[in-house]
Amino acid sequence: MTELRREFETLLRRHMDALYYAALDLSGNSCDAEDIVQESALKGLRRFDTFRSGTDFKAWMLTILAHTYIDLYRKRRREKPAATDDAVQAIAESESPLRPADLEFLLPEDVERALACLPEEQRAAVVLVDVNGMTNQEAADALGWPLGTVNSRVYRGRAELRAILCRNADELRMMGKGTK
Amino acid sequence: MNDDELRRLLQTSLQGRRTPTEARERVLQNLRPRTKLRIAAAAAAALLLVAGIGLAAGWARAPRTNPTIRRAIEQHMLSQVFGHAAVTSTPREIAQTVSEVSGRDIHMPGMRDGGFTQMEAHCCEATGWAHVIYANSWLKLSCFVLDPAELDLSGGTRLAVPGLEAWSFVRGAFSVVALRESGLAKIWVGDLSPEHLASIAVDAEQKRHQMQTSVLSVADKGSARQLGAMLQSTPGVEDFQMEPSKQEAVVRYDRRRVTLEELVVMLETNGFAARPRDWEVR
Repeated sequence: MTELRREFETLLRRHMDALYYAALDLSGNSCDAEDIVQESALKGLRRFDTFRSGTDFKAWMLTILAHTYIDLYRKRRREKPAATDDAVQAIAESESPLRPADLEFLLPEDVERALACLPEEQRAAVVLVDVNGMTNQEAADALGWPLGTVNSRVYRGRAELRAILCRNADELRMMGKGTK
Repeated sequence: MNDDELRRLLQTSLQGRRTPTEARERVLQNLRPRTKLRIAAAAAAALLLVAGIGLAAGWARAPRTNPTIRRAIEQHMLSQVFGHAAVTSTPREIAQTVSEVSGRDIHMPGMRDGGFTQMEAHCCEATGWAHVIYANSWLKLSCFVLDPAELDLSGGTRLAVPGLEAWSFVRGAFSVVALRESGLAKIWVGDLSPEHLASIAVDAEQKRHQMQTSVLSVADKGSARQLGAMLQSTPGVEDFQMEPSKQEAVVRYDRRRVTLEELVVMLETNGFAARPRDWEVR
């Protein structure tokens, strides 16, 4: 067990940044992110004997992490106010598409903030698929959602993300705050 | 922008972020076996029993939440800002609103380290207090700024924080932390455990005295964007403003976490010819 634990800890250390920031992007706050990583690490350690050596540890842990997040999300959903999907959707539909030139005005912080503005379901799908490189099917398995639901949430999430980034870029351009 | 370009933008923008050292250590520490777990569990059970008896005894004589704290919770609940709402004010506008309402020039912490965004500030009609709202996708936090004469501390528990007058209150699901300092009072409200809210409020207050603003001159105009990206991912950097026309970056940082010398060395190591100006704004 000690040997397994040591091996698990070594792998966890190597992928901690990716896991922590996946949890942060999913949950939107550092306290929940730490809790999610903590719980996922304990789950991972308990199941580490089922992990096949030589396979992708990060992907394996990301799946556990996504399960942990979705449990938390379902628990919190009852307590949360209604999400403003409609408002964000309206923005997505009314904005012009993101142009390559807009990127000149965006900093990583703007991208991080835009991602945080997405509704949870869409953000979870985009974070797993686009930020962490899972396939839609892998994300569907990890989150326990039907594939069609993940496809639709990735699609809507991307559309809304473009709209939010475009709006932010426009604002920065108007304020002359761009860094070019 | 197509899906692949968007994916590339996300991955390049979000790569290279480092887990805070404390969080990393806590996660790893909790994985390690605890040899004295049983003794600790027995001791904890005994403590819980004692605390439970104490709580039960104190329940009957627990005072009702005082009016100031009750009003703060009501105003917190009334605000319509949620985590997914778009930010309606810039930090500068928020600072201006707080100054206008309170009549004081007050620095409101950005709370970016804790994953929060400053959403908006307004004057509460019912109380006349300045109300600053922070949020992330799960939580909303309120910080009220008021005259200390209005602050009723009855029923609060004094927090043992050196150099800070702070009290903690609990009402239902809400925790409240009240702080008093040099002719000013702040009340923090959130749907969090009292310990968690206290750590946020105390850190925000302590951070206020540790913020430093420095101006970095950027030799190469073309590197401003990359410099911004580098500063963005640097722990301890609270805020920065690029001034491309002057080839300057105004950086606000928490000197408990990073020094100007460390910032300069970090930038030099990464190939940025950025030097601090020979004066500091604050």
